[in-house]
Amino acid sequence: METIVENEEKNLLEVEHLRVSFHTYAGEVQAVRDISYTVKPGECLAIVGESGSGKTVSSKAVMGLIEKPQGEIKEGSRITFDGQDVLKFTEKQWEKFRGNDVAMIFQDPMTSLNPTTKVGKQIVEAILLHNKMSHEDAAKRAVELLRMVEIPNPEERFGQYPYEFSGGMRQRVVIAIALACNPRLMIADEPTTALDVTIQAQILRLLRKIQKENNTAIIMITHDLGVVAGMADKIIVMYSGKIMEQGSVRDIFYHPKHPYTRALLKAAPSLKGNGKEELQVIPGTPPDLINPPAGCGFSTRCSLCLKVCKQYPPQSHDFGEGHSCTCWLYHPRTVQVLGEEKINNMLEEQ
Amino acid sequence: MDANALIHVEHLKKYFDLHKRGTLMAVDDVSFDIRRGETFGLVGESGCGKTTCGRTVIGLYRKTDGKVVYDGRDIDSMTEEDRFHFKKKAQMIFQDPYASLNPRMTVEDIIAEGMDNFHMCQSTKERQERVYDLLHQVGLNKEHAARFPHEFSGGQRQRIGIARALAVEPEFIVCDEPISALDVSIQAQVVNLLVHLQREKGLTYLFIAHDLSMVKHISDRVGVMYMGHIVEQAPSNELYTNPLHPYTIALMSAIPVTDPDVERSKKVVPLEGEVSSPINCRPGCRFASRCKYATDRCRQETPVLKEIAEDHFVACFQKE
Repeated sequence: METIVENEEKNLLEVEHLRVSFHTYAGEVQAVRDISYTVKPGECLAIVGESGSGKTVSSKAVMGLIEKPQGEIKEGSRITFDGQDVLKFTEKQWEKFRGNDVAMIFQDPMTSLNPTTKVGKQIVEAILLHNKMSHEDAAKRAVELLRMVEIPNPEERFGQYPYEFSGGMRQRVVIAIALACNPRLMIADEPTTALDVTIQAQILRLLRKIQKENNTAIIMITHDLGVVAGMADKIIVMYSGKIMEQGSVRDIFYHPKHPYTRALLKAAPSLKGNGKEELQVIPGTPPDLINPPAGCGFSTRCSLCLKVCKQYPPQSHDFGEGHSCTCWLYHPRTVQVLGEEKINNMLEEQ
Repeated sequence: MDANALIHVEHLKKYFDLHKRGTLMAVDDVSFDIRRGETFGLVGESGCGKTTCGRTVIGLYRKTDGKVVYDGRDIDSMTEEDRFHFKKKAQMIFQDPYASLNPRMTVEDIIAEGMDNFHMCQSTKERQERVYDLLHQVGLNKEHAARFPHEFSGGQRQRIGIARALAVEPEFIVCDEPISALDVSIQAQVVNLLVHLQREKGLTYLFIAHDLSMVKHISDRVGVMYMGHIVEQAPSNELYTNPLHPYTIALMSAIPVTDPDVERSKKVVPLEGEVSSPINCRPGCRFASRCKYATDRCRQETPVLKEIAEDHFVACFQKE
């Protein structure tokens, strides 16, 4: 019953066949190569991947932050937000869209605030950009926002400069600015990577609270699987500009299908482990996206690589309920040739 | 003092004079032993003094007070010859593989610089061969020797940093956050390399990091630092299964676990507020302002490390 209700709910964001390239002196870097995903209102989607896997670029495209002419969103890509085709926006429409409908939280709270402007003024600026109200009302709203992100003594803090704030407090201010216009979607790009674990726990708790109270959808970009485990409803695992596997948080952590996802989960040391046993490693380094491999992007590092993996890109296989995996091992032909048992054994031994 | 200790640190203090703003007490009365062939982990949040502690032990900072004994010899009263020996035997791997390699030197020169200083090679050919051998040991190959650092990825650069530390045949290596700038899949490669080298050469590590799960993985014993003090010290399994200090407990509960069911049902001990300033500290437990068990005694008297169980030390009045 529950799933039916969920299906009826309209998607807030739909990304279809997104491809983004950057033109450099060395050649065309294909940062994102054909990815599709959806986000529903109030949902938290996590995009996981290593640096250079295209996770940040794919969300910058949603914000219209791919700079031309070096960056290019390829033809055939479609991004729809609440029924509007975002990629057809004029510059004016973009300005209205950014901040109002979608807001972004960046990784480094030290560089995303203006060091020469008081914190309060920076929040007021964001409010006045999108709302018609008096300066006083905006200031009141700014203090309210500071209180909402749990900054102690908001009235006093309003008149201080960013250097007077610690890293965790600055990230709270950045979140307050993002919340200024009640966006329906928040994109958080590694929001806690620069913070300590105890501060990270505070910020994650705050994001969860905002998600629940305002029904804000969150796209969380991170490489930390622990953070994902606590936050996400859905997970996308990206590698070499493609989606390797996507599914619910339980699918990914308890029934991972793709060899990359499985290796990634094993590479993280667990607190339960007992001393210095070898960590499972993924040998090698990610491929160069100027000349992406003809076949699967992960084939160069995959311990289960088949002949076909190097030659042809794999297709996505659906396991039901939104869980899908892009790997040759699950292709009907592979299953026919190798037999299901052998494939399971291979995955076990991986 | 432990009879088997390679490094013995006693009441180590490192203060920085901030002129009119007072004194920053980065490391304040820290004592520990590192046994031969073991890995001692130092964890804590940014600003707790763990890096300063490592740098002071190895002599990159001049200590304010206290004693560092290396292999039975106090480094203050060492003879010129012993000091030369110490500099060779104690090496360091730095945090940022992008900043710690000279961009204008080739990999060969970077690795061989230490060997040149200690006159370890008789001929250019020998020097080159040793560099090739070291590159091979850290999983690179000899074609890399003529290249410059910018041609390498983060993980490869960290391997170069490790090769440079190994070049002078050290016994003791301070690893200052060697993996925090790397991707998860690359972190595992570097950690495995460090463990492998330790087994092969009998190295002793001081491993400094904020990633608690990685510290747990690599360390035999762990010290938890908070604002210049070691608040708890124990064998790593004991520390993670049975943390005693309120700060350690909060720290452990804040580590995200890669298991959604555990992560969502676990009880996080909320730690309110942030680390206060380590400038001009007064006596008293440094954690008292954030600790819910704090009493008047905690605010007036500084607790010292006491052995609660075998090899398990805690600095907290509540646990006495």
